Amino acid sequence: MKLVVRLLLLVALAALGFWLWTIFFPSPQKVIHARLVKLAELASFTQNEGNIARVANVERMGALFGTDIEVIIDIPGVEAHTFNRRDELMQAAMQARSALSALKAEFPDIHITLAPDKQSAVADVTLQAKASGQGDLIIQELKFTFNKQGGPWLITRVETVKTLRR
Amino acid sequence: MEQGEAQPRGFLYWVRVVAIGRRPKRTLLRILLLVLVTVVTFKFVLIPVRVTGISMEPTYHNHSINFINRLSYLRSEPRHGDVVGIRYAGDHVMLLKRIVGTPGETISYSGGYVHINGVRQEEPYLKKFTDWEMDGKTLGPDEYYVVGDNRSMPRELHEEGVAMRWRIVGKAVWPGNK
Repeated sequence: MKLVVRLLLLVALAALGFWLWTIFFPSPQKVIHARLVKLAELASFTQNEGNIARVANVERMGALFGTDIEVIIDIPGVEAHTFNRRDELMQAAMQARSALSALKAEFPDIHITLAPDKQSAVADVTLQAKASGQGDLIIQELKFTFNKQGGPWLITRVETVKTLRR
Repeated sequence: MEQGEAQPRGFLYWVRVVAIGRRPKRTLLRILLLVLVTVVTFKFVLIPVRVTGISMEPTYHNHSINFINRLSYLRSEPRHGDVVGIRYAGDHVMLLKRIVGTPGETISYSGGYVHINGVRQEEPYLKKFTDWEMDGKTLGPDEYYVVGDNRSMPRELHEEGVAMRWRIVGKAVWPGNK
């Protein structure tokens, strides 16, 4: 009986150690997942967002992207658009915040594939957004490319994915 | 108290019997089994979905509830007229569409009607017709043409097109309004 208790304690201790290890040294997938969740959080805004908070949130959102970010938007029924620099993207984010009174963005599905060298990763995500004043949800599949290159994981490319091909 | 005489059973005893039964261990086991079956069923077999939008009107209304059966296509492939769930990056959010074209077929719209290999199809589920036009598109292997039942909306605003087989999660359980 004593042995069983000792074994159980050992297993519990090992599980605790593993859990602590994942907290202090998260896997790249976990870091990227957290960054995407943060991105959705910072892309969302409410009617009550003040000017200082607005600028701060856009700045914080911009920090998740590399300077030479490439964003390719190609959605049926919407004019195709490409951003090639982080500044352009941040400007567009500011304009969206001015044009809409509120936006709630979420990524309900995130699938991350890490490159063999562990220096880049691709995240396939589903964007679900609800803008104030619009009845329908905005649903769009997106592909994010992340790069590490010695520093933090940064988004270097975002492109829309055609779930249904016409 | 004499031996063998039954203990008086109070109100709390009967509350306990009604709530957790005469054998609590067995009840606990039943609850665990029920939870397990429910989780497995609704997470891996029947995926609950809430319809959002009007692209499947009038068959499925906005905010209606349905289930996608993942096991539908284990032994057979999707067929014409099946309403299926199509995954985006995962299956937390899905498109609900009707299959009108299967691999190898050439799909076109003429006067709002679907034509397969040049032959106009009868689509009893359609209530409103339009003037959608599309030249023939031949589907490759593993490609299915899917469209919503509401073709009264402009085609540009209607999400329809070719879906790869791996995106088809399963078939809708409720057939919807006929």
